[in-house]
Amino acid sequence: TFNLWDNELSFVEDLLEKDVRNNSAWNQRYFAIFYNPTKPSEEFLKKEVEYGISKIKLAPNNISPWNYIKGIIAKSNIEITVLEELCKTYSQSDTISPHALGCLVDIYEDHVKRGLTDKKELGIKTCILLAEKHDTIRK
Amino acid sequence: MSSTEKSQELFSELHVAYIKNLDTKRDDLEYWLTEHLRLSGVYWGLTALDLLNNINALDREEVVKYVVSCQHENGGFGAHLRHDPHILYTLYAVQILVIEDAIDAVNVEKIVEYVSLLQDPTTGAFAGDEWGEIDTRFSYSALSCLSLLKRLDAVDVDKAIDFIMKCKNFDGGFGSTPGAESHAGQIFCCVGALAIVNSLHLVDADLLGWWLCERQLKNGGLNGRPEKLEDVCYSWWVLSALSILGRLHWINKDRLIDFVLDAQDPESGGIADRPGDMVDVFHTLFGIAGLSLLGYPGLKPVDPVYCLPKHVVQRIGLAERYHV
Repeated sequence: TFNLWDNELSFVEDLLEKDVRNNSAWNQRYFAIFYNPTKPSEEFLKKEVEYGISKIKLAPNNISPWNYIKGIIAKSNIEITVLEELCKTYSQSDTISPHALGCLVDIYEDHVKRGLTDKKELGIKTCILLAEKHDTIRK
Repeated sequence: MSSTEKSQELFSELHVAYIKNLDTKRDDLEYWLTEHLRLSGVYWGLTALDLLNNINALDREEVVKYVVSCQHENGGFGAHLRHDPHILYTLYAVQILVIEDAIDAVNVEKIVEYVSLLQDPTTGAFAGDEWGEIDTRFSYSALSCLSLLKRLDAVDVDKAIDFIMKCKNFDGGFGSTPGAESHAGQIFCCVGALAIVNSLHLVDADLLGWWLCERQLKNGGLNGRPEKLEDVCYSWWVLSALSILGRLHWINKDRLIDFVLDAQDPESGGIADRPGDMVDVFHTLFGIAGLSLLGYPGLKPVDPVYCLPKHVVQRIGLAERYHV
């Protein structure tokens, strides 16, 4: 083999350093990890989630890392609740991100699915908040 | 052109005149530079005219004669006389002939043969032409073309579906090849193709529907993927996909209608990619088709899977294989 995969991740990291909003680069990151003949370990994926979170903090309204993290979570044993703290940060402070609110809805939905119905009210309230204030074009 | 006055209506007559005049511009360099899009232009123009209830603005006999002249011996169609055959133009040819109800004017068996030979028997993917480029657009072209000819039996549909599903991404969208970034145009092709072969259940409709409605920007327009500019043609690619998935209501309709109307040229007709830009027949069709999907009055209903007027699809007896 030519070890073409080895440099792919660092190349992607360069691209994201230059522009964290580069959706194509986020897609390429996913490609470099999951289409790699060497499958990623759980440890590796946990680090990817942390990487994604660090990039969200740079620009919480940038949707790409949010989608990316959810994609990683879907392919691992990590639970979506790891994002709860992050979401709460960006739903209560000066910086409110509709993606954080949307993610909270996903988290509450996850709670409800496991039978913890106490979060249902909160989930509905968050949806209303999104529709009326923070993401009005997407009622 | 004034960008401070907002257009509140669709300038149908101007658009009809604009389309009619396209083929008269033979003194313009642009006319000749776009020769490789001539057949596509006829499809875009003709479909728009029919949606505008004005199909006779283009002479049927002349249109059919032109399309016939573009067919090669191997059954495929090129973009214009002496242009090489390609699956894209083959679809456009069939679409035009179906609209004009003149499919008998060409060798249908040869078309079926041409398209079926473009499928890779191992992966199920379709090449665009003999040179082998693979893209889910070509999967859509093949399946749509054969479906219109009632000859889906000529290809391996299951394998075709397999390949499309390999192009599904973590965000619910689809790309041109496995691993490629989700893009609204590719998504239309994949969702449309899956609808044609009764496999919409393979799509995560909520996840993809959400990604699609996230394309709407504050100015009301739609983009094709995150962080890109709004463009009128996405009011087709995104809208038709949402419509097929039964989630058209996830878009703010009024804002989008305003955006499309604002991209019209109120003097010479035609629609541009966004307000203030130069118009072209491609964006004219997709703006009008998008408006039709949104229920704008005075337009014929359009089929979101085939991007043809609904009455045409019904005339050839194809069932509506999607949510309304």
